[in-house]
Order: sequence, then structure tokens, then C-alpha cells
Amino acid sequence: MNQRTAIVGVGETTYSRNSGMTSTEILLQASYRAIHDAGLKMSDIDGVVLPRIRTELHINEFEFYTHANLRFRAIAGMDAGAGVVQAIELAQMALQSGQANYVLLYIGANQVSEPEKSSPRGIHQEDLYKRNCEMPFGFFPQPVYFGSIANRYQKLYGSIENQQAAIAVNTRKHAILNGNAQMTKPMTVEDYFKSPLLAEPLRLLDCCVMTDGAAAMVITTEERAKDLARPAATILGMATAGLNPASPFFFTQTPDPLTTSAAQTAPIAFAQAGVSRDDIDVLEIYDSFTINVILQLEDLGFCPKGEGGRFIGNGENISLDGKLPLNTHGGLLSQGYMYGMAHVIEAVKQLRGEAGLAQVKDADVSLVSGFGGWFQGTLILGGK
Amino acid sequence: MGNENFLLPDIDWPVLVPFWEACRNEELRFPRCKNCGIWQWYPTFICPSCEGEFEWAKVTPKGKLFSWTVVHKAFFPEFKEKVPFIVACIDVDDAPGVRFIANAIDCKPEDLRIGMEMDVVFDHIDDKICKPQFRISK
Repeated sequence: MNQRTAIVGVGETTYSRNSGMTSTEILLQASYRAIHDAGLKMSDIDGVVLPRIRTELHINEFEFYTHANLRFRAIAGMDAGAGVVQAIELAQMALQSGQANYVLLYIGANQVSEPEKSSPRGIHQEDLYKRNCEMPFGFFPQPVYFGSIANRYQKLYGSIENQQAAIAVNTRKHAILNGNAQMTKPMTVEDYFKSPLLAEPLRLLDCCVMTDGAAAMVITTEERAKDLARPAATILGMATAGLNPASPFFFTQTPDPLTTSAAQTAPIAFAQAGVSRDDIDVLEIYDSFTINVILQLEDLGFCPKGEGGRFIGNGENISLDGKLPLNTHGGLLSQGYMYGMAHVIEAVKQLRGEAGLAQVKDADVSLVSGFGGWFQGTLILGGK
Repeated sequence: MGNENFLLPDIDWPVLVPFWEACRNEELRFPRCKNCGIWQWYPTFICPSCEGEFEWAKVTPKGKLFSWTVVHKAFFPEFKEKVPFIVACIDVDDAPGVRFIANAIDCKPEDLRIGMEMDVVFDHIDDKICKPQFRISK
């Protein structure tokens, strides 16, 4: 049987609207922080996986790799949060096959100060199918796709406006506790309903923020992890899939846009991990939009399809002292858009007992759901 | 991409030339495999089912409403004059598998229901460009 692997170092820059640094500098900063967190040096790193295909297009890789000793390099082909989980899968494959001993993952961009280079919107704008089949009708950008999805959901299963508000408010509370979040002004349900409609039923406060910043982590084998500085977060189960991989960006062109690929990956990841839904102490879901949280919550198996709203309620279940604390770092909605990497980092910190004011008591098992286009990845981590 | 008007399709993009030509003639055509008969949208070069070739087959311009959203924010400057507008998608009756996006016109959002029958009508922007639109069937 293959040896298990673990996340042993994590690092983040400040998340802001203007980093004041180049892309290379923020990625280096996050990477060195992750490497030092693990108690390693850059020269120990012999593998790199980029969770995002575009990261390498706008950094100075020479600067990056001069001090590492790379034997292995890969780029995840899936998008956003799914790419993050896939990068961890690729790192694990390299570690288990002996192609690398310490693998560094890094992601980040100046999405606000250099949007043309790196924002999700800028990337979608370049797609010629979108340019010709969607944009002339105003089906663009992401808030419109997810407005259309949320509208269908509400028409089939009933209103979820109050539950979307509960997610936004709950996530903001957690961001305020985090200490490295872009959105730190307290939010009430009333504030939510006062925020402007962008694409019905989605309001401004249903949408994530855009961010300048970077995040990184180091992964090694469970055996090597024992000699390192920090408590390891062991990878118990992991899977990625795409229900409609032929068109991951075309949100109308999947037979059922109310079902994410979490429906495929969650059973695999739970079986590998040998844990049940009741064992999950912390849940980190890729929350580009509030509706996206509800869809994944259902597809992960925490409640049946159509009952995500009921599960969310007024936020009792998903608060820090609730049954299933959700996005305890403030998520994409309020902490910053870090593609889902910050979700994994938070899942690690919770297991280490290093989540500060947002620490969930006795967190032993955490789950990350990384959504990206129509791909999705589920990752289950265990602490001591 | 600097000065492009995102409201207008690039009718010279080779992949969709037959589609926009058909619209100009007030016809709706989608790619159908010459060999196995499946419909494919968005267009691909090779049939994913049998590796056959596609032809642009005419369909009755009708379909069932799949979803829609009322867009309030002008995400591009050229949409400032248009908001709020309804962008919808329909499952085309004659072409199973084809889900097609356009704007719904002459209706209020509260009139719309999932599964309702929509007609495709045509809006001649100029001599060359004709955009399909949706209207609730009578």
C-alpha cells in the first residue's frame, strides 16, 4: 500500500486590493513562508506543482527555482478550487513514486492591481465560444452564470434568499476573526438585503471579492513529516472529477447545473478516509457565490439535493459553535479570492489548533471542497 | 480586445459563420452529426459520439425555458443602456442537447416559468448582424 502524505507547511501573504509587489514577489513570499513553517529550506524542495495553469505565465520562474533542487514539476489542468485539490493529488503521486521528497505548491496573483493578466473575468473574456455565444447577450461574467443557476434552484426548490444571507453574514463574522481578511466590516442580514442586485437573485454580497495575494504549502510523506517543525495534517482521502469536462467554463452547457462534481468525488474521498459525514469537524467549501456553497453542501452528502437551504437555516449549523462550522477563515466571500488554497490552509490550521479566534474546539477532521469550472475536488485531512 | 463591442458577435469567427448566416435569413440552425444524428452545442469539429462530421440543420425556432436571470449591473460599458435586461437559456425542442442563450424580450420577469414554451425571434442589428431573441410563445 502507498505511504500516506501530509501537508507540513503553509504560507500566505497579506490579502489586499493592492499588494504593492510584483507577482513573483508575492509568490516567493508565500512560498518561503510555507517552507520555513515546515522547518525546511528552499534547497530541500525537489518538486513543484502549480495548481493553476496561468501562474507560470506571469512570474519569473528563474528567480523561483534558482535555490530549489527540482526533480519534479507539474501543473494541474483543472481550474480554481478543483486545481488546488488536483495539485495535491499530483504532489502525492510524485511523493509516493519517489519522484520527489518535498513538494511545494504555490498560487496567487495581483487580481485587482493587474486584472487583465490574472482575474477570472479576464480569462473568460478570451474564450471565443463565450465571446460569441454568451457575451453578446450579456451572459457574462461569473455573477450572471451563477444568478441563472441560483434562479433555477429557487424556482425548483423554493426561495433561499434568507439562507444566502445567512452564509454571507456567517462568513463575514469568520473573516473578522481571521486577522488576514479583506472584508472586516461587520455585516447584518439587513446589510445583505440592502446590497444591490447584480444578477437576480444574486446581490453584491453573494459574490466573492477579488484579491492581490499568494498562498503556498509544502507536502511530504507521512514518514518524513515526523521529523518536521509543525504538526502534520495527514491526507486521509482525496478525489477530483468533472461531470462535464468537455466544457468546464460553459455553465449552461452541463446537463444539470444544479449538481456539481462533488457528487462524484465525495463518496470516493470519504471511502478512502474511512470517516463519515458526522466525523467532519470543519468544512471549507469553495464559495465564489453563496449558491455555490449550497450546491456543494448537498453534493458532498451533508443533506439531500434541494435541502441545502434548510440545512443552512439562519446559520446555526454553520457557525463556529454549530454542528458543521463552515469557512472558518472568511472564505472567498470575505477573506479574499485565493482560488481555494486558503481553504486548504485553514483546514490545516484548524487541525493544528492554530486558527486563532476562529479555532473550532477539538478539530480532528476537516474537509475541503474545491470547485472550479465544472470540475471539483474533495480533500479530507486528519490531525493527531 | 481593447475597443471591441461585446454586444456584437464576431460573425467572421469560422466556427459560427453558418449560424449567423442562418440568423440573417431568420432561421435557426445547429450542428447535427451527418452520421449518427446527434446534436452538438457548442460546435465541435468531430462528433463526440461517432467521430462523424456535422452539418448545420434547420430547427423550428422554439424551445423550453431552462433558466434566466435579470441582470442589473452593467458589467461592460456597452451594457449601461441595456440594464436591467433578461438573459435566458432554452432547451431547443427539435434538437435534444442544445441549450441556447439569448435575451428574453417583451416580457416581465414575473411572467417567466421554467419549462414554458419560448419562440426564437430575430433582431436585425444591421445588414450583417442578426441576433436571435426569445419571446414567450402565444
